[in-house]
Formats: sequence, C-alpha cells, structure tokens
Amino acid sequence: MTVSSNSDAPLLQVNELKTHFPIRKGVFSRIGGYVQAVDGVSLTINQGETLGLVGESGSGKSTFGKSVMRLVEPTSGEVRIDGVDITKSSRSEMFNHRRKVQMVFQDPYSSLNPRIPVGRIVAEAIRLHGIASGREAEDMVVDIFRRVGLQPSQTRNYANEFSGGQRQRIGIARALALSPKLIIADEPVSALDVSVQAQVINLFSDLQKDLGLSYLFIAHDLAVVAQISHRIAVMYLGRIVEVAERHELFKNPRHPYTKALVAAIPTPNPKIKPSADRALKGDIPSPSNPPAGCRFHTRCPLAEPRCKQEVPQLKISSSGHAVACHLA
Amino acid sequence: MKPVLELKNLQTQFETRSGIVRAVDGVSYHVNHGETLGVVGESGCGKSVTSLSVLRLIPNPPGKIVGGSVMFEGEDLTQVPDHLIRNIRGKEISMIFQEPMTSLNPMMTVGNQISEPLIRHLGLSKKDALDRAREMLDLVQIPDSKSWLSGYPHQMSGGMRQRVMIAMALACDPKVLIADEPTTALDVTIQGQILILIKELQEKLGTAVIMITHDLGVVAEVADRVVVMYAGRKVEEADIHTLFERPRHPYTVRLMTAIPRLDRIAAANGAPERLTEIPGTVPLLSELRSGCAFFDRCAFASEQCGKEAPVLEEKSRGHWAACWNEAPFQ
Repeated sequence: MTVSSNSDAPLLQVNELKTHFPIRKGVFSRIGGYVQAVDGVSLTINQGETLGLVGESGSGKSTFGKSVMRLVEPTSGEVRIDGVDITKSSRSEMFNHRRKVQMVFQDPYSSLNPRIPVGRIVAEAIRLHGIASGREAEDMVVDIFRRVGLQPSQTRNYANEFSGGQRQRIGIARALALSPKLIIADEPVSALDVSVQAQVINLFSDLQKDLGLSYLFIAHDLAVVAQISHRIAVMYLGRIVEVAERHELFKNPRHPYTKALVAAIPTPNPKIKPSADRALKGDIPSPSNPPAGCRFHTRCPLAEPRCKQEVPQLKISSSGHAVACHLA
Repeated sequence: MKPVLELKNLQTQFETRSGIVRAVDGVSYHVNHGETLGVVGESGCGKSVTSLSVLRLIPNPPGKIVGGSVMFEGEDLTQVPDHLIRNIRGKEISMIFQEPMTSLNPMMTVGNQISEPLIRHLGLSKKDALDRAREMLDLVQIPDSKSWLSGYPHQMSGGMRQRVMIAMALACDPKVLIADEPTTALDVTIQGQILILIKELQEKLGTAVIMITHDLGVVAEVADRVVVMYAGRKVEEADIHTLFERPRHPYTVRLMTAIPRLDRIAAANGAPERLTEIPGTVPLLSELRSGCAFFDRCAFASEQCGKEAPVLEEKSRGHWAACWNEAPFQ
C-alpha cells in the first residue's frame, strides 16, 4: 500500500541528522570522545503514514526520536516539520511546533505524574497551549478519554490505579490532547503483557484511521513494527541501513543485517525450525567506538575488504527501496 | 519414561497486606531426562514462583510452600532440610535468570564465580576448579576464555554475561536446568545465539530443561512439551505440535491470535490482519473471583464458568486443558 501525501512537502523531513554525546573523562571533565548515537540519518514521514523504526539496543533509534522532538539537542542536520527547520527554532517557536508533534513513551509507569489525577495530566497541555479552559477543557478531556477506550469517570483517578495497558492509553490520550499531526511512539508496547499489547496496537491503528495521524513508531520488535507500519526503516549503530515499504522489505530484504534480523525472530510455529546458521556472530559494537567503514562489517557474513574502509551510502532504487550496502 | 523432576499439586502463598495471595495454586508438571518443557504465561501467572519453589528460593516470610510436593530422585524437595537443599541447588538442579547482570556478583572475577560451585559441590581444588571453569567458558563459546577468567561481569556484554550464567549453571553437570526468561533482556540477534547454545548443550549433556517464557515464538523453537499458566494455575498442557495445531483453552487460543505474526505479515499481500484482542487485563491474584480466573476476559464463557473453577481434563492423549467449554480455533 502506498500512502501518498496530499501536500507537496512531507510532514516530517529529517536531513543528515547527527546527535553526538560527549564522553567526559577525568577530574576536569575533559571531552574524551563522542558517542555517535545518531550519525547522519535522513528520513521522511508523510501525512497519515506510519514509519516504523526498528533496531537493537545502541542503534540510536530512541535518540533519533528524542532529537526530532528536540528533547535532546541534535548536533547537526535538519528536522523539518511542515517545511520548517525546527533545529534553529527559539524556545517560543518550539512551543508551537510541539503542538504538531507529540510523544508516547515506553514506560507508562514512570511517564505519568503519580500525584495528580490523570484527567488533569491530559488537561494540562490543553490549558497550557490556550486551546480551551475550564469546563470546555474538561469536556475535551472526556472526549479524548472515550477515544482511547477509557471511561469519563476515570479522569479523576490517579495513575497508580490503572493497569499497564490503561496507563499506556492515558499516555496516548495526553499525546492526543493537542491534536498533533505526528506522534512519536518510543517502544509503546514493549512494557506490556502479550495479551494487552494487541489492544494498544489496535488503538494506534484505529486512531490513525479516524484522525489521519502520522506515526514514527520506534520498537525493537520487528513483528510489532511490521503489524503497524506502512514503511520500515532499519537502524544499526546510529545509521539507517535499509528503508522500504513493509511489503517490499519482507519480500525482498537486501541488507544483510535486515535479513539476519528477520531470521532471528522465533516463529510461533513449531514446524518451522530455525536454520542453525541464522544467528549473527558476535556482539553489537559500542556506539562510542563504532567500526570504520560499514558499521556492520564486524558481524556481516558477506563482508569484503572494502566494507572495512568505505562507508556505504544509502542508495535509493526507483521503487523507493533504499539500502546502504556495497554488496546489495 | 520416569520423570527427572515432578511437581504435584504445588501450592505457594504469600502473606500480603491485602490478604493471602495464592501465587501457585495447585500446579503439577514434570520434565523428563533430555526433554525441554516450556512454561508459558504472562506476568503474575506464577510461572517464576513455581520454579523458585522447586529450589525453595521463596523468601519466607512472606512466602510459603503450603502444599503439594516436588519429587526429585525419590525425595520430596519441599520436605528436605535446609542444609541438604543447598547440595541440590546448583549441583543437581540449577537456574539461570532473566537479568544476568544482577545475578552475577560484580565484585568477583568470572573465573571465581564459575569455580565456586565446583569447589563447594564437587570438592575440586582451586586450581582444578579454574581449569574446569575455563573449559566451561570454551563450552559456552566465549572467545579468549583464559583471559576472561580474571575479567569482571561489567566488562562483558549482556550476551556474554548470559553465557557465563549458563557456564555456571552447567558447571556441575546438573540433571535439571531451569531457565527463567533467559533471553528476554537480550537483543534478538543475541537471543538466537543463546537459544541455540542452550539447545546444543542440552543435546551434549542430556540435561532436562524447564524454559520459562512469555514468548510463544521462543517456546515453539525450543520446547518439546508446553505448560500454559494463568493466574497461578496450569490451564493447558500438551506436546508442542498439538498445542500449536489445536489449542484447547480459550486463553491459549486467544494468545496465539493476539500476537503479531511476522511470518504471516510477510506472506500476506495486503495490510496485516487486525489482531484479536483479549479484553481487560491479567487479574490481580489478591482479587481472584470464584470460578474460572479467565471468566471476565473469555469470549466463550458460560454460566458454569462464573461459578465453578474448571478442572483439568484430558481432551486427547497427553493434552490437558482446564475449561468447561470447547474454544474454536481458526
């Protein structure tokens, strides 16, 4: 399925984004190096589209999400929302941009204030942004609660009175309060029980259908990402190694890392036995000292001498399938 | 075949401020020599407490084994005196846990940690124990094993730490290995490595493995037989193929259609099918209703289910389920 944008520019356009964190050492906190958490990532998301961003720990997928929100400051590159580069925006301009982009976090236990009723958590943003106040704001909150599958009476309860799945619904309600165009969801179902995951994944799908939302859906679980995404980007050690439409990615994965990732997921079918060679050798290298050349070459079964020296560029084919590999 | 380890009607309770919680409420299962038994369930279903009860690792108070038996080599482990159960832990039955960092001692070298059970249980000298520790590191495929003997856990990656845990657990050649979510904290590409390793070692050593997990994919890959738990009870048991072909308990049935299936999404041409939801959440054990614990979430519940807790019935040979009704599947 191709989701075309009705306006010319994509809703979100990220160009060559880099977010590096200094590593401080010694008593004078000298900068001893940098963790290249995100190192030159370019991605777009269209109106009404879900882009899945998948990667293992240390891939920089969460830092990427936070950099788009400017919850961490990008080192260089552009983040364009509706054509405006927000990396150069002032604080007050950012305040307005945040109405367009909201975030849902992984841990619904630590991301909700335990001391105020959940209705007020959701109402806070509505008041702060001057969208509504008093009775009107309360009505809006009740509407949003219904939309995410909670009872209006539950607005008076506190976060600890809810189960994990319900808390994640509250997290989604808070993100919806400002009627954003884009929601960045960082591992939104990975802390939930299997039987509850489906409820939240379906809620994301329904909200997209009803409200025309776009999602950047960040997760380590490729099956979850595949369930919800129109396009999928695979990240490894700070870089994008492959981007394609969901269907294309699974029919024709081209990067050796993508292939390994797909093969590594245990299939809930005992008749399908995994091939013995499916596991990648070795560990994920540290992002503070990534391998030269192609960052995957230390684990790649196909690596050639040039992979150790030359950085492969992300090349886009006519079908929109992009891959960063010398051999693909 | 005679089982290596057999739990009969095991009951473990915790005393809490909101009353007595029956974390394990009459669970029976067994594992045979060289077999892998999968124990599946979500948080709070009692799958971990059951296995901790086997080795009497439940803190008392507040926890207590109040009934049932754990038979191992003709002895009931629930009745064995404390000093004797220590001879079984780590020697005859050993465990690996989800988080290898918190289960390893950060102040102790890897070599000394693996040696400890060897000195304690097998009476090896320090030197012999270190030699054996090195062999174990080779066995779990840690490169450069000699220099890692003097290394510390924090210098290792998550995958390597889990390999060290496995080396420690298997050092005394136990008859049963209990693996409690051993790959949940690991990345998928590392998970694959660890699952293969456990399988290979099991074939080599003939260990019986109890694999506790929430992941149906992991179970399908490694288990020969599966026990499904819900709210402190066993709700279904079958061999792996039967369970996936024809699950009988509505909870198992729904669980299988509630998870996103990469194999099906990849094979489908259009958008993925909508996931089947299981309404509500896992019940709190302190607030269990009478009747079937799954009643409130079950699509196939009848009036009887609300009143009477279902008993385990053999639906076909070796296939047990605790349900009054027949849940259709696919």
